Amino acid sequence: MSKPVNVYSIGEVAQRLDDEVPIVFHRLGYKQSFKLIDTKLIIGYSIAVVAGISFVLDKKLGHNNVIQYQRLLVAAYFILSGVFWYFKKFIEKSILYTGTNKENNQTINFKRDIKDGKPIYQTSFIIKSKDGEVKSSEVNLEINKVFNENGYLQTDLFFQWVKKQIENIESKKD
Amino acid sequence: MNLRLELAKFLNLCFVFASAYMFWETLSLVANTHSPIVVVLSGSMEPAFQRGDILFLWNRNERVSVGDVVVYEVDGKNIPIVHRVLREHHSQTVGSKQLLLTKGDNNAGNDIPLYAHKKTYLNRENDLVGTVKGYFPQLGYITIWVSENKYAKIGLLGFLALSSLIQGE
Repeated sequence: MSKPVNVYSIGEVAQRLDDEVPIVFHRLGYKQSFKLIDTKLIIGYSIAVVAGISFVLDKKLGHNNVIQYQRLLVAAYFILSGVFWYFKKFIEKSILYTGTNKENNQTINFKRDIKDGKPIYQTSFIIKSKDGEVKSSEVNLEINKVFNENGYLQTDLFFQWVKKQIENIESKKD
Repeated sequence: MNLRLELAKFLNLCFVFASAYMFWETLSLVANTHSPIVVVLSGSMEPAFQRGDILFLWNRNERVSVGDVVVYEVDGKNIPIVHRVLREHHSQTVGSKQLLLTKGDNNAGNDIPLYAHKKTYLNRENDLVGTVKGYFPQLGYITIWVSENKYAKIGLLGFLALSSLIQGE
């Protein structure tokens, strides 16, 4: 399978689970939506481009000749960085996965959190059905339920667990 | 998703370099000089400054005073020289140029032999990089080591790149 992780490091464990999440949702019939990720990448790369232009101008034309342009570029850099921060904090809001289920036209948002030193993967599922109804659930997953001692993620167990959480949410209606 | 993952990791790397460079550029604009931080390269200002000290410069002062420690670059040469202002001349007209004579504290004579084209003064506007406003001891040895050792620069950049890529894991 894949390489083992150190089960005593919640960071590594969470990373491994994060990597598995899109696969699990794909098996459950969801198609991943990359809008949030793509927007973040675009903003991020435009920041890098602005910095790159500033660097090249400085090298090629000499600092004293391009001060006006540098002022604009530095201002653009700070504005874009602000937008990036705002986007990360308020719009992306640590959503790890967004997907749509073609069959019942649901969208699902998946978030997760971890606390230092605690072997718990705190998940949050938010399901929006096609008529606008929003159902959510926050469940803690004890990692020893899906990881074996040697650090291998039992992917089937994780898949079953996620499947069960989603079924619980759907049956929880009304 | 894999492409996006790689793009995201590479973006983190870009951010390291971009933020470092933009910090420098912002500092340059604020201090109004092309080099807001310089490293002392010689012992000509001992005991005040030692080789390897980092100096923080400010260049928005219209007039420089006698006794200020300033950094200047001789026309055509890119090496910053850190010395003290011995004499200054300016006329009473507003906006007139200021001419300076400098000398290193630890040098026997003034800087006239150093000035370009047999000049006997420095022009505050054109030749000065900035006035020293603060310093930090010995940290500049990293820069000295990097510039004197051609593999060190690549090594340092490589180390920065590697550490940011690993952090992403």
